[in-house]
Amino acid sequence: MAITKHKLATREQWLEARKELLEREKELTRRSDELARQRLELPWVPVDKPYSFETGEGTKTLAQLFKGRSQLLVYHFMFGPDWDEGCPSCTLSADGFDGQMIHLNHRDVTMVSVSRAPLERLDAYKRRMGWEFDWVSSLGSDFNFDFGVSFTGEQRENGVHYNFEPIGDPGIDELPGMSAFALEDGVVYHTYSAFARGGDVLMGIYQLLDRAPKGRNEGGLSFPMEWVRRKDEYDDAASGATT
Amino acid sequence: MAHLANHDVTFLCASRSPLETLNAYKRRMGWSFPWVSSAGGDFNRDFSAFTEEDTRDGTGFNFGSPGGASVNVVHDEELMALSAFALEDGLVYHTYSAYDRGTDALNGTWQLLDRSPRGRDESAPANWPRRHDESRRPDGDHQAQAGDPRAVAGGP
Repeated sequence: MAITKHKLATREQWLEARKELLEREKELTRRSDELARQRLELPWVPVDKPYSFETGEGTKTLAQLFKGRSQLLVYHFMFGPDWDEGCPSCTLSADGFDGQMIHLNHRDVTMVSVSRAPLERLDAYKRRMGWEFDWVSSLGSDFNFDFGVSFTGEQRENGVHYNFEPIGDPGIDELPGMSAFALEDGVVYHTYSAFARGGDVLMGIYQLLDRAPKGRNEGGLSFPMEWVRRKDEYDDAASGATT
Repeated sequence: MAHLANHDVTFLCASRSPLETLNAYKRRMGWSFPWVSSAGGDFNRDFSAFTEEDTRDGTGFNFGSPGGASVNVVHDEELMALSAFALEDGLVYHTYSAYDRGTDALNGTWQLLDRSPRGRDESAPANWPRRHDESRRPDGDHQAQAGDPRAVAGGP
């Protein structure tokens, strides 16, 4: 009988090792709860700049994107004005969060994706991917630049700030992130933004992979997410997409 | 699911309900992940608690953690969990299981709420979450109506 090269254990030995790991997992859960509490203590910054967005219901202000709720999450989806398709990694995230919108709405949270591509291109890509979430265009507005996820050629030449630190020229006009806003008495406040691996938790698939026997299993690749395709672009997409 | 499948991972859900009940609920929710029934087998109990004693007295849930002791999951109750298995040369190995808040990270809605201005807001109504076809949006927005095909997400 061929036996795996991985370390083997009896059930009793596994239980002992698992319980040790469980203590560390619980420590992470407790620290994560504490961090969530600290996140809520961040100060808020009033947003008085009149941003405008193209939406399926016409041009809207940032306050109107709340759709009557008091909290707004913005997913900064990388889709530049002249791109034909959305970023594959953002697409992976969106595959995960699309079904969560209605549940967030019932906790007084509206979530919207914002990109600089024109609305008709966002709509076409959304249809192709079969998504339902709200996606608006910030083309012509400073929104993406002000919230640190789009960069002009001049900014790139001089070096940009991303994830709250200088990173030089990112080599691309768009980078991912998420921002949170509150609306109180007609005033919009910016409460939170996260970038780079700060968006990891939105990619639920990595939480699943982290618990699979081989983990993220990206060791032999030229960059970590090299394996990711749009779901209709995998080799077996026609037959395998839902099995 | 498509992304996991293309990264050498098969994901499925297993429940003790009969398959036809699972299939009906899956259709209602518009899901497309594979869902199998473990009714009649020992699978659910064996992966709830891992020692005979824990199984017998029902204290083994979440590896006997405080709080798990009051849960009689091995005696016909149901709770959620995640288990992982490897297959090598025809042999199946159990590699991992997680319970209770060990599955928090899999629920992206919690992660999103954690980043919203008011967080998880545990003081919020006890009737949340509801099934997505049982929700009504106060603003009459799309997605909310039972039986409305648009209530169905794009699938995994």
